[in-house]
Amino acid sequence: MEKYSIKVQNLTKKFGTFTAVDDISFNVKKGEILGFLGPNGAGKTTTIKVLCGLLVPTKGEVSVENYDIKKDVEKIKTIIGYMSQKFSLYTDLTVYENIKFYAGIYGVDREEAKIKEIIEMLDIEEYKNTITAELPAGIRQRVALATAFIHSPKILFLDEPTAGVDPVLRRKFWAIIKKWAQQGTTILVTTHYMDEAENCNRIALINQGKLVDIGEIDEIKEKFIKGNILCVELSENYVKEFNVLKKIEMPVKDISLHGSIVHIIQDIDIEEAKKKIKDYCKTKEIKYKNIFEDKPSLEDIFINLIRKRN
Amino acid sequence: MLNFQRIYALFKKEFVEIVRDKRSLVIVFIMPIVMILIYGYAVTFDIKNIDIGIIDRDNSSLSRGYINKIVSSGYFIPYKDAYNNMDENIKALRRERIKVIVVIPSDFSFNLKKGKDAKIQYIVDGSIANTAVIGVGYLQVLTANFANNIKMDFVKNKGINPKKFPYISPEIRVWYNQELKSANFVVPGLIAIIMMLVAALLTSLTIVRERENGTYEEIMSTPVTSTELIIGKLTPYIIIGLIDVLLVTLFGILWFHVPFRGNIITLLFFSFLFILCALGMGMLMSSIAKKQEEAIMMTFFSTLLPSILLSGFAFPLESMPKAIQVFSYFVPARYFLNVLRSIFLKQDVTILMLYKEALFLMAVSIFFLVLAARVIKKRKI
Ligand SMILES: Nc1ncnc2c1ncn2[C@@H]1O[C@H](COP(=O)(O)OP(=O)(O)OP(=O)(O)O)[C@@H](O)[C@H]1O
Ligand SMILES: [Mg+2]
Repeated sequence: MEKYSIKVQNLTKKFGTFTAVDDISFNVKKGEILGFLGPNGAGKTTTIKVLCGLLVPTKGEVSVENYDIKKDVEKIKTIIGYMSQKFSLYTDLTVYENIKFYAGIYGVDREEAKIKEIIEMLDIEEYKNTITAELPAGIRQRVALATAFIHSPKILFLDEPTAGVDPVLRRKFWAIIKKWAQQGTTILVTTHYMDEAENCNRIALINQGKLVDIGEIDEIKEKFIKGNILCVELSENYVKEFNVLKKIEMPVKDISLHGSIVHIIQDIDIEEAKKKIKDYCKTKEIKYKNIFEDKPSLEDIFINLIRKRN
Repeated sequence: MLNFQRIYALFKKEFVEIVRDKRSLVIVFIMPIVMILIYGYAVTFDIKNIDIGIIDRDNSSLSRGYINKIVSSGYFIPYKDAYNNMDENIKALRRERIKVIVVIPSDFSFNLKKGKDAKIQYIVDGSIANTAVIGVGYLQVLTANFANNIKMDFVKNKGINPKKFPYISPEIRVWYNQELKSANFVVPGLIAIIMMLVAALLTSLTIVRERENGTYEEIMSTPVTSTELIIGKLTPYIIIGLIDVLLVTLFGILWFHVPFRGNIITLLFFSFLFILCALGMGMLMSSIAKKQEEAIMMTFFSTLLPSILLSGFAFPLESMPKAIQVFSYFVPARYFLNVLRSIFLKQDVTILMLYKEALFLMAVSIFFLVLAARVIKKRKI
């Protein structure tokens, strides 16, 4: 049996002279959740749109479930589900009518039973007959997910599905996605929330149209961040203090600010480093609140990565 | 291969959206009625009480009879202050106090009694063409009528049986619109304009709105083809358009007392073809435009303006420059206008008699629909 659900080779997409996706290659395994990570304008959405047949690639080969995107795009469209980054439901229709519309479009068998099932699965029964315009953001997202999954597609493309949704609902959302993946659906998802990426089997880091790396999260973390992370929590004047702290004489690999917390990546012994930082803060009169050790997060990787590029 | 299940899903969704969208409902039901009322009264409704000046140089019983005929028709009000005063009348014409001056020459009754031709002069204010033209139209009918009566009297007085005497028809005859009611002429024309506006305007938004709302991308990621999309989206508008035709026709008949002499099937058949043209154009604009405002502007300039200006609705085509006349052959409203006037005012008009118009409307609608389908397919999102 074919191991890969999606195969992308040397894909390039240009808009005029601007290259949005620059010669990327990767494969997506059947039934895996692949997370696309990258800053704004990295080319995540563009890549997904090419895979859905919404944009024609400038160069490269793409196959989805062994169908060539250039020749068999109509066949591909019957086996994929797509949830776009923009809010995209019919606002004058009820939740039920939106789902029913897509059920009709995909020619779903046992339509009513299927609609009932997905409405229950996504826990949106109480909104079934609500006009979509009146729904809160978290519910809208779930309805959009229902419309993208009503025909049980083999592959589900989710472009920032949880943007603007509160953490509790986000967790619920991910629980459903994971369940579908376990049942064999291949899922390609983009996100800005680094913590969410931990839910993915593998992640692909994209920056400025290029695929920086793809692999399991721990692998990537190890590859990009050698050493430990010390966090220094600063007080109100953290921007000013951060600028002073940056000048510390210590073999620092990277130093960055996350809110009022400074992340310092370095390789010398943790206790020794802590002492050095404390001493430095004392002489420079930096009023820190706390110093503690932390595991590197994807965010650290990201900042590290983008620094290296520039 | 068309998938009818998908078409049906699109049809139903579009229909529900129209019904729930207040803006669409206003365009569909309120706008046609408001338009026909405004236009009906402002442009079309019979102009009454036209101010005229009278110069009677003959001052005979015949000339007074003629004047009496004009005044008692109810369409004209004589400007008494300037009666028989040419200078005052011309001044009044200049400041638009009156629209027409009727001049009866001094040999009027002399000629008539001799059985010779008599001449009447009308001096018309050309700047307000519409009123003046209608006024002169009335005057001509009244004059012809008057002339005919005199001839009949003349014949009778000579003791000749009028039935044996060959009937002398007046030179001016108004066909199909004997009462010279301009409403009879304008209301059918209005139907064409309203249909163009409603159908093209509504469809011009249908795709571009989805593009703005983000639902278009989603649809394009499904197996729906461009042909299915167009058929599914257009069918509700065809139904709505036909309902509108009936609504406006009924309004014209009941409110403006326009006669309807043709048959309803012919009307619906041609309305269907014309709506298809309008929808095809609207669809094309919608698939090209990036924003809803853009689509509305494009539709306005490419469909509505030509329909009003170049169809013969507002201005007679014969009086236009040749180049523009040629251009008017490509305006569907021109054909539909002819068809509508025929159906309303003539009896026994069949579809076969109007086959040229039918073929043209078919060709135009196919052209635009195919073009729209291609744009949709090529452009993707
Ligand atoms: N239709 C288009 N025409 C021109 N440029 C485009 C078009 N679509 C996208 N771009 C550009 O291509 C680049 C990649 O955009 P893309 O939407 O793929 O980024 P992204 O990674 O999804 O970003 P975000 O996280 O903000 O969604 C951006 O610089 C964007 O401005
Ligand atoms: Mg994006």
